[in-house]
Amino acid sequence: MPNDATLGARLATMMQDLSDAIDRTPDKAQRDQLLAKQDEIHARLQTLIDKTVKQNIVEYQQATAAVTQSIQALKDTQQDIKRVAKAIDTLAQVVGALTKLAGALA
Amino acid sequence: MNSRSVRVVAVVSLMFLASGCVGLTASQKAAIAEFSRATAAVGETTQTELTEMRERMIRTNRERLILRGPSPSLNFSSSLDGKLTISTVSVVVAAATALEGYGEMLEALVEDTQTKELHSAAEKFVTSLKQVPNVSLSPGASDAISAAIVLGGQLLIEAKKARAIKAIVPQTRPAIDQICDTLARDFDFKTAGLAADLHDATELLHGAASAAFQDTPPGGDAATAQAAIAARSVSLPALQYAIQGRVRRDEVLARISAAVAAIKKANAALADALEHDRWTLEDVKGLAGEAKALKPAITELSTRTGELLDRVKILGPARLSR
Repeated sequence: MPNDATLGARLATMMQDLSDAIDRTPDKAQRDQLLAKQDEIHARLQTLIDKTVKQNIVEYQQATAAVTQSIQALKDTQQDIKRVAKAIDTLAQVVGALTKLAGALA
Repeated sequence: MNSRSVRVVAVVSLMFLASGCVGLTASQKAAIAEFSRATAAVGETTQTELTEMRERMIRTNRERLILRGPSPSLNFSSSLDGKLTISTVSVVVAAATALEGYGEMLEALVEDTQTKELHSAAEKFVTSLKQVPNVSLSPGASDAISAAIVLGGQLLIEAKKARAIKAIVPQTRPAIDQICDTLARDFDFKTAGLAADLHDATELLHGAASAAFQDTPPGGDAATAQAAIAARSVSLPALQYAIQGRVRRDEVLARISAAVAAIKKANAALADALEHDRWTLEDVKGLAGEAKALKPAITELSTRTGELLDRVKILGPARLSR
């Protein structure tokens, strides 16, 4: 896939990995947390879409790193579903990083 | 006579003067014809898919609202079509129509086509292009197209056809490049275009439907069992629809994005060969190869989409049993 290194490309991958994680998480409370994070991330994506995202700023690099870490954490849940809690933590970091990025672009 | 008319007359005169030039060889004509047909087919397929994408977006968001209720990014004041508004989709459809018109115009120039068909294709190309913001034809490109239309029946002479093609393709290349870039972006879900917006909505529906299905308690008494059946009859089709959306994204949208990128590359090679009058056998083979590679993908797009989606209907419930 082209542009796999960009934040947008990684966010697209993360959105799919996240809904797959919801699919295989047996615990309702954790599923609800994952769903809530999915909504939060999507809301921040909408804010970012309307802005010109500069790739050379530190907030962009931090958001990209947070999303990369989250993709790995979500993939880890395929091997061990007990790792969902850790994936939820990384998703919270993604929300924070995207909020900072949007703030830097405002 | 205004300055534009003077320019068109000058281009027409040049084409007459050049009637002594040699025409295109049979293999060159065949390669351009193949490329033209592929370009027109991709343009046509793309228009159909854009309408389908908008319908999918509306249904996806409607299902999300049913399953999850209002959220910050989707509530009763939101448009169900998201970024795929009628005005946005119309612009991208115009870009796809321009690409189709361009393919038909080149085809009319290399095949034994009637003047009326050439005029119709050229008009489709120019009119559609005018509806795409930030894309315009250079005066040279407009003049070359107008001159080809003016020549009409004269283009039965092979050398004049060749001259028209040699004038039009290099001159229109910047506009075709921009159209292809626009379409490739809007069909690549990993860039911020229309496909990306549909991808996000599809994943949100996938998560919501999967959670709703799993959250439905097994039936106890008759009333609970009926309520569970009613809940699953909403969540299961929604989940299947989201899975179909993924398949369509991976199988159809990705192919369109790749096909449009291939057309841009092949058109650049054709423009270069015509502009510098250096048609090697490799150029012809290369162009024909690019076009031939596109054809199976386009055929698959139009014939296998239904089959792919039918297969997903069977796969959906099986995934849930994991």
